[in-house]
Amino acid sequence: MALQSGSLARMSSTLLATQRGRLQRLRLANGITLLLGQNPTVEILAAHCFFRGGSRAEQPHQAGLSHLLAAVLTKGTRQRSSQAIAAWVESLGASLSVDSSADHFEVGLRCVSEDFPELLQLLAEILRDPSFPEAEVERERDLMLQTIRAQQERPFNLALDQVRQALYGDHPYALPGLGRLQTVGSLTREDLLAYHATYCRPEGMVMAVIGPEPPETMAAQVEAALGGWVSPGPPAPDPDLPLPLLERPQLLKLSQPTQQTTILMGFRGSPAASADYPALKLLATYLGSGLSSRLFVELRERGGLAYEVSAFFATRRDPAPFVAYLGTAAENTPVALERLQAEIRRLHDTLLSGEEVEMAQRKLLGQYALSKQTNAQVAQLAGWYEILGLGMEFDQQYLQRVRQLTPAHLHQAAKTYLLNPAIALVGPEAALAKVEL
Amino acid sequence: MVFKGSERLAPGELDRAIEGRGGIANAATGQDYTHYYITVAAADLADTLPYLAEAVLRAGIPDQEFEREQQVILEEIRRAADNLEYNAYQLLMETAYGEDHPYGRPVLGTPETLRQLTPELLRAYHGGWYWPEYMTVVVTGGIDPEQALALVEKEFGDPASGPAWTSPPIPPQPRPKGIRRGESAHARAEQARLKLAWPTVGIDNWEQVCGLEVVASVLGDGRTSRLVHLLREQRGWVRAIGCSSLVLKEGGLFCISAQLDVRDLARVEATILHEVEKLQQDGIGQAELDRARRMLTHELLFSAESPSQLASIYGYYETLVGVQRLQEYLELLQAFTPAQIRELAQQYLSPEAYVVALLKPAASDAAAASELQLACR
Repeated sequence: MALQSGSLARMSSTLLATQRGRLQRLRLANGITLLLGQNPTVEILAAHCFFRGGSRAEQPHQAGLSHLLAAVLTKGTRQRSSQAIAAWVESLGASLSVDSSADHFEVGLRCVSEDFPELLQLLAEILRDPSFPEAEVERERDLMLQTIRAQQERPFNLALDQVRQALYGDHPYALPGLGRLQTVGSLTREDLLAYHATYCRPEGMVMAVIGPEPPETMAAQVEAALGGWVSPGPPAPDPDLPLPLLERPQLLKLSQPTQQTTILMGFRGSPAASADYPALKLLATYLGSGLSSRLFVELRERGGLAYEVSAFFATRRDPAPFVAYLGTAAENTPVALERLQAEIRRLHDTLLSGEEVEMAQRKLLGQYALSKQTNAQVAQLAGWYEILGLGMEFDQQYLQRVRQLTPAHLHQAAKTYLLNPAIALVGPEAALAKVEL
Repeated sequence: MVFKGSERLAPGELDRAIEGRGGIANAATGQDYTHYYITVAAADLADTLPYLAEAVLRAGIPDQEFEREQQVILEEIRRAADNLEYNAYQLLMETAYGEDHPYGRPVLGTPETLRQLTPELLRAYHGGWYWPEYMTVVVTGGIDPEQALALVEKEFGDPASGPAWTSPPIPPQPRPKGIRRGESAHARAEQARLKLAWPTVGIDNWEQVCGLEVVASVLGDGRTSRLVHLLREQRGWVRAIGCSSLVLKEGGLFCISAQLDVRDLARVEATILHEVEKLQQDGIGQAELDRARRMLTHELLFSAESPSQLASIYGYYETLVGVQRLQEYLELLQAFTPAQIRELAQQYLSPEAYVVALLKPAASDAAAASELQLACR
């Protein structure tokens, strides 16, 4: 298929078009929730299927199972080999990916719209009848073990890993999605079959599709491919998971022969469903998003202490990590940590000005809009909110709540959540020795 | 330093103006060009473009900001030194181009070269390079093109400039006579990075540049590509492998990169070479060409979905080869024959003359690694 220059020119209006289009929700008889949006400005179609599960559903001794499922799911069905599946997808110039994250796993498809009905057949086969060939399971497990080792090459990962453990104890959020060498090493094909039967099911599945065709057309295509899929047995229980008490700040040091020291400060924030979620999101934006953020201006532009300095607050079913971090020269370790702590103290001790909060609000709202430009981005976000139990309407509710936040809200959120941090330092031993809490 | 303001713009003012409207501002420098960009709501174009124009055209490069920014760049260099992918890439560029060629030196500079810079030198570079004839402005999105053009003419029509900057002449791209190896050991590496590379052509040889994209796709793009299929999917000898044709103005590199355990290094390098020779001897089939063609066309389509992506692509093409080459690329993809692809592989991918960059875990690392696992449980 030839791509004419006209189709490139047409793409420039994507942003407006997808923002204007409202998504529709549809429930199929077998329990699949469909979210559909039409964007006629591009030929591209994005479809994302979401399932509850993810790392949160793993037993401690099986950490990494959801990730392994993601790696092997497209590696064979009862009808087709791994290579036959890949050949089908690639001959159409499409992409098919499976990702596991903290609260769910998802299968994403991107293609030109005319290929969608054909690829839906393949998608249905992969979701319903994966065969998890023994050789594929073994190979992906071995490569996952290599990946776990390679993760340790990044100082940021080493720091985050320590902070996660300190904040989450026996809760699954304590572990990296990849799992540990010991747990992954013992995973089997039977574990995958059981996990698949429990979580990969139509009932509770969310599928978000954004493409150029009318929603009715796309709905009929999905129904034809997935409407006959019936849930095997009752759904998995969804237990509450314990969280450790955080009673005092913790300092965690890991010496490494690096040039920089990575300083990472983590707090346990709120779940996404909490009324406090928007305030914590705005605090993270204020502190660490962009060139005009507080940490960037104070620690980098005025202090010259870092190149990368940032903050983020995750979106999770259970209380999510709130993290601020930077990398600094070894000799600056004590002063950089002191400055970072002072910035958090400031949020406890003083009320931000109305101007500061408005600036952060405009930044958050604008950057949020910019994060929803492509069909895949729109589908991914809507489906994610839906699978988290927030509903795709959360997209607008969240923005509305962000607009209503005041300095007092942010102060309250800082005093409630930015307490008892877990602070990880990864860097040269001599630099770490100089730091105490 | 361009973001540090001008006579009329205080340091940080541009950041606040753009981000305060919910936009994004940033800049990036590569081997062949630097680009500055903002992404804002279309309605904010007229209010924000003047900041970008003022900063870029009339950068003050103030003395009092210079030393602190040097510190920040020094942190950027240290951060890069802790990053193994960066180290492997830099080792490849040094080995392939040598230190006499600008592509052989790090874009970030080194602590030594950074210390030698002065605000005066930067001002001279800016005054001598940031001229209209060297500049491309791209505006994409939900805009009125005529209004946008008028705005660009108004804001960018009157650049300040100084005496022309004269760069030292660029030597021709080195071509290895045999196998040229660059190796280094890294204390924190758990796995090796192996890169095999062949010098290709300058960007003016557009047909070859485009054809080499097809060769790269056949060898290393996607699960059914030859190297991914054989080395990752069938044998499991590499954790990841990919192939890319690095396109640079003064001569690019065709590069195969793998991440793997040290024990598999020798057989992986041998297998890669064997596959390259097989491609030269047997060529490719029509189905394989169709697959590559479709994947490359769709990759471009997918990578140009948002206005900011599209602006990057247009800017890249116009700066280096002219934006009309984008259409030519798409047409050439459809026109290549299997025989042409085979000839390109024969012409450029010699099994007797190539460059190897190998980053290995330091020998003493075995003990350190097990300790580390204990520390993080």
